[in-house]
Amino acid sequence: MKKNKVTFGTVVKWILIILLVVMQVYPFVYVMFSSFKTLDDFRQLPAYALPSSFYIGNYITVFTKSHMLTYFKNSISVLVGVLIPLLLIALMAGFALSKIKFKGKKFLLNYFLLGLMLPMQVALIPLFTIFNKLGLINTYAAIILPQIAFSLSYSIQLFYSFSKFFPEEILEAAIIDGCNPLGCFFKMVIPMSLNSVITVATMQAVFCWNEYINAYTFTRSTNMKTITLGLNDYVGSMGLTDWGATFAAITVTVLPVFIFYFFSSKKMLAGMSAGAVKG
Amino acid sequence: MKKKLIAMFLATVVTASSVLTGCGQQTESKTATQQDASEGTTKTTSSTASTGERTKITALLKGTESTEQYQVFNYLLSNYCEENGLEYEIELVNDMQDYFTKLQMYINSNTLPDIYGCPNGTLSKACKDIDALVDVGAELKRNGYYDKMNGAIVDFLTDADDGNIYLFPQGLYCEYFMYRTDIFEEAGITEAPATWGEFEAACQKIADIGEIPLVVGGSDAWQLMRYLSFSPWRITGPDFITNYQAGSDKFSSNDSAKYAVNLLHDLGTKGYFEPGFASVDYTSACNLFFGGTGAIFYSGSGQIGLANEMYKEGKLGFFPVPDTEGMENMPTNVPIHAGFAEAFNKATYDDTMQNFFDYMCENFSDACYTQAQIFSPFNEDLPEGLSQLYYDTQPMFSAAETAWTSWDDKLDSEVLTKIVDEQQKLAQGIITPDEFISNCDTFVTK
Repeated sequence: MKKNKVTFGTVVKWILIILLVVMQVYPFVYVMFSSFKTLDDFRQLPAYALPSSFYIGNYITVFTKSHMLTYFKNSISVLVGVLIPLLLIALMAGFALSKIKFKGKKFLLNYFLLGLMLPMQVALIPLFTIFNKLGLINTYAAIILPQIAFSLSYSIQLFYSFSKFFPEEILEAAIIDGCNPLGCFFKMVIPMSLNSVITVATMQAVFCWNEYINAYTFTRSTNMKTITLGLNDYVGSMGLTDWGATFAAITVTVLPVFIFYFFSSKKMLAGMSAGAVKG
Repeated sequence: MKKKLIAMFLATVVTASSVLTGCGQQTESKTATQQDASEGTTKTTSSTASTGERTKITALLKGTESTEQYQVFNYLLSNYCEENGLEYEIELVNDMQDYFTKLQMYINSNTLPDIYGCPNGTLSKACKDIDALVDVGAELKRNGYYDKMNGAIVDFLTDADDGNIYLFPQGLYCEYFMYRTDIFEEAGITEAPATWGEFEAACQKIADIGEIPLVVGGSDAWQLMRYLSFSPWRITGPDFITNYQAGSDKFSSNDSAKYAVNLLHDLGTKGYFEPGFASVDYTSACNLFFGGTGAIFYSGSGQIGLANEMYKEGKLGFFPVPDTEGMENMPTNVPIHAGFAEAFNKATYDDTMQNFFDYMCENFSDACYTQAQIFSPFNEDLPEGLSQLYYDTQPMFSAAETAWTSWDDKLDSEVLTKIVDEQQKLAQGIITPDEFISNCDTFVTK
């Protein structure tokens, strides 16, 4: 029987891996354990200590004494409002740019790429003025539209790269069988691009869930606040901060992203590597 | 078939956009103001019904639902609006820098709400420049409340350019040092320090018994800046900082300013502040002190709610800003200010808003004491049933006529940022007092 030899390199490699895992996992574990601490625990125990008991009062506070449910509803509405049009438009544009031959195609692709260079902050004041004149301030549309616009460049680029390797023979066969372009798109392109759709959806969903600047600029009332804005409620500006409730709120807000990422990561990795190597 | 598909697609887009917009609108009416280009004036289109009558009052305030400004205005607006069949909407921004950014954006786009929080300084000047400030002083004279206002508050809010009052006080805030009586006793300190020399001696005694003498929120600019500005304020009032900003005075040529620089350097380098003070914010400093760490904390009436219990049990005492030795100190030794203050938008100040203003003055004291646990800016007898700390601290400042001069309001943001950087280095001993003075004297030129 052959024994595995433990080399110095293997030890270093494992130490590094463990170190990286601890660095990645510890902050979340710290936040989660802290969410079960009482006010006395925060005052008396060291920051790294485990809670004296698993106190769930912080979670009750989050859901009963704050507007967390409203913030959740708003964040989900914005997420859905951004993802559906974004994926539809970006996939259509990416696919069309890679498959349809027309004059100015290269220029259009480069034009979309220009969007990657434009920082969101540059557009805030002009957008605020426009939205204000249109009466859109403090509406979902004001938070959703800029996010779709600023995510388009990246998403189109990703779909364009993927679509280049989409087999044209399948499309030709479908057209010969009498399928129109829209039918081809909805019945064939979308189902076959599922991995890349999930990749873009996952990445943009995480960005969208964590988005702050749009929601901060274009909303006014508590009813329209998203989760990232709402977290600010927990930090007392000139007095005591309820750290237990703050950590509970952070845990509650990051969990959906973790769960979503956990279930989609496999497909996402597949989507990322699709098109990287010509098969 | 193709036409049907296109028609269906377009119908879906139209429906989706109207649903999205509709969801966002909810029950709220449209937003603030619209620029009338031809006249260069600002019209309110939002808070009015089709009949032209106001249906809603809007406000922008700094803080959260637990902060005083919100508690006072939410109480007043909800009662007033209920009585008058109106709606109201309060926008809250917690972080100071975020608030300033948002206020600046509303100023730039001329979309200020009916009521907005505003400090007396560069931002109130920017609002005055676009004619978005109601003359609150004139309004107070009209409804008979001007003479009831605390003298120091009037002084604090008086506009430096024209002597009018454009801002309504958030409340009356007085600042003082709180100390732990048990630690003072253990350290053998029998009397609260009356001069900075005694203050430093007390800190040393506390350090000698192994306790932390001073708790400070060193990452918040204003906390360390107080130690830098106490001495010039007691000696010159607002003169030093006003003249420094104008380029006609310097740290190097003002003895009280030099004294303050040395004081901050001493407190920081002798280890009187808590370990890691430079990264502790004010909220955390409150947590530390009221949680049982440290002997002295610069706080004030804004924290009465937190201090109540300990004071009742005899664990807390308080003392005002010490004198600077060898110089002539002014009699007022408790910094008094009006908090963040509120402005009323001149462009939307109609009969309803004037009516609300009168209602607000009438009920402001009640809101201060019953909702926010702060002192009212109006000189009225304290109501019964408040905690003892109110009655014991009021005599300290009731006769004060000179207001606190807040450096962070008076300095322009560029100079302020530079001084804040330097004060951090000074308190941590990275630079000497002489280096601090020579650096800061270059920030403003005539």
